[in-house]
Amino acid sequence: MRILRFFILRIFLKRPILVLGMITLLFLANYLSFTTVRSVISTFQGYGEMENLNQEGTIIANLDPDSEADFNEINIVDTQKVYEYLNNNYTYALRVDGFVTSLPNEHKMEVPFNYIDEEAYKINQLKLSQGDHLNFNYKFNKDDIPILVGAGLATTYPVGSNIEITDPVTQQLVNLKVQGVLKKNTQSSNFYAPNSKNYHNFSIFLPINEEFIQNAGLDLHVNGLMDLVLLDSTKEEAMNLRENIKENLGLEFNFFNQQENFDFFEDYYLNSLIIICTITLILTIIIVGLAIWNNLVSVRLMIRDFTINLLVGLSYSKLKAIFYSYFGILFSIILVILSVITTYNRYGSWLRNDSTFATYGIFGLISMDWMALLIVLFIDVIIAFAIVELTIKKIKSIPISVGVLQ
Amino acid sequence: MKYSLFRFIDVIEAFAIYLICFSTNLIFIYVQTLDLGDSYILESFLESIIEYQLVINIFLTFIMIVFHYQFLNRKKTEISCRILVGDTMVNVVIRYILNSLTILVFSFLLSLLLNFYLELNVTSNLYLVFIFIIYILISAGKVEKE
Repeated sequence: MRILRFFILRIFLKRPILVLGMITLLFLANYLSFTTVRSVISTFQGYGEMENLNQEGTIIANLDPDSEADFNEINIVDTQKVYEYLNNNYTYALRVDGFVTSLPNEHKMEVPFNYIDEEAYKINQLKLSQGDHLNFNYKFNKDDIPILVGAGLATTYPVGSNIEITDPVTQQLVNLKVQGVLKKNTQSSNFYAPNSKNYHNFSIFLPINEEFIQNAGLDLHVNGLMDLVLLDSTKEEAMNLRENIKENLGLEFNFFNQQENFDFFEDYYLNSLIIICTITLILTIIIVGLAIWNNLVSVRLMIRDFTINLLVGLSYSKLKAIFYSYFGILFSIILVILSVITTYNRYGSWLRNDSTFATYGIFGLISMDWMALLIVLFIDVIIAFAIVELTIKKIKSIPISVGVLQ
Repeated sequence: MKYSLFRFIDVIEAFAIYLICFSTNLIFIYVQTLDLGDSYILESFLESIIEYQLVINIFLTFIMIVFHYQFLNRKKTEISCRILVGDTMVNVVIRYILNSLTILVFSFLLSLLLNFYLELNVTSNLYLVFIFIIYILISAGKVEKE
């Protein structure tokens, strides 16, 4: 320990610019790997959610991106006809997220209302920390509507409490009854942006049934069709629905079955991840190359100090241990800086009152961040190994007598 | 580069560092002009890096400070020897500044080829040139003998 302290204070820190240069490069390498690893983990989480949905017999609707959609021409009577047709002929899962409304809460967050039908609820398997799961057989306008609230709303609206509010999609005054509280950091991803997450810590999940859908406004009807999932259906049946929607609403929808979705997503995810990993690998190699150069430069300047210590009895293995400890300290500092930046970014969502990104976690970091930090730590071990072994090789190649004379 | 403190390997090192800094900056700018189509995964990944473009570029220029620092530390004995044989400190400093600027200008001109290839504005790297000139002038004050 004393020898390590001596080396750090009297040799390495005697030239602080070289230490700062090394910290800068290693930080860049760590930030890059952290961003990539987190992106990959997040994409896999999104892929997992997509796999849950994309089962045999499911057909997922998607507004044709090449078609020209005129939403102003659509009226409620037309959408009601489409939903009537849907109810009579199909089993479907419907979920519409993000109708933001003001609901007083201790964190002053805006509250997104997410509407979910029974089939979508079965597929999504939301996990609760308190209370019971939703039931869908309530009478609209007569019974209280059972809801699930996010963990951030649990203190203001505990299980059993009632909320009277104008519902954003029906524009009617409704009575909501808190039936359960979602687990902290319950999340969902978009199919096409699987690495982007929406967190439901301040969301309300409201169960919808046929009666509710018929009473809902145009927004819910149209948005509901965007990610509609037909269950136990066939391509032919989906084409009939496509025609019905086109006839009534003038919108062109594509319907993709399980195989088509798998082909698309495998291709899309795989290609994106390969490109991301390749970019990261190339950049990391360049940065580590610069870090090795930086360390060899340090050796050039510090060789006299090293060789004098070797002359008076320091062994190469002890010197190697000193270098590993030195890099251990540098990487620890960098990982702390990285954690602080990530915590600050996560905390930024609370400061901005951004309810869809506000998360709970140890020191402000969520499980995905911790996992990414752990993988970065493993990458750091490899980087430290490469730098230290090359440095020791370089020191060994310089005869002690030459080094001392310098 | 007559009587220069720079050896061939020093010139190559400085040249490579300048080029890495210029190329990184240009690639950052180029990536922003790319149309990534529907690939949101790639787009958001690149955004998370491009967000810190300026910080990353400035961090990378720090490597040039390391270069100047180690270079001048290694050359202290050589400078002493030169002064012993009749050279003056002022001349050494002037030659150091001129040589450093020459390397900078040549690497900037070479980076312009990448500018033209990627069809980017030729002024994209000018702010880095300005930063590097400041580094050269500051390091000129650190030209010392043993």
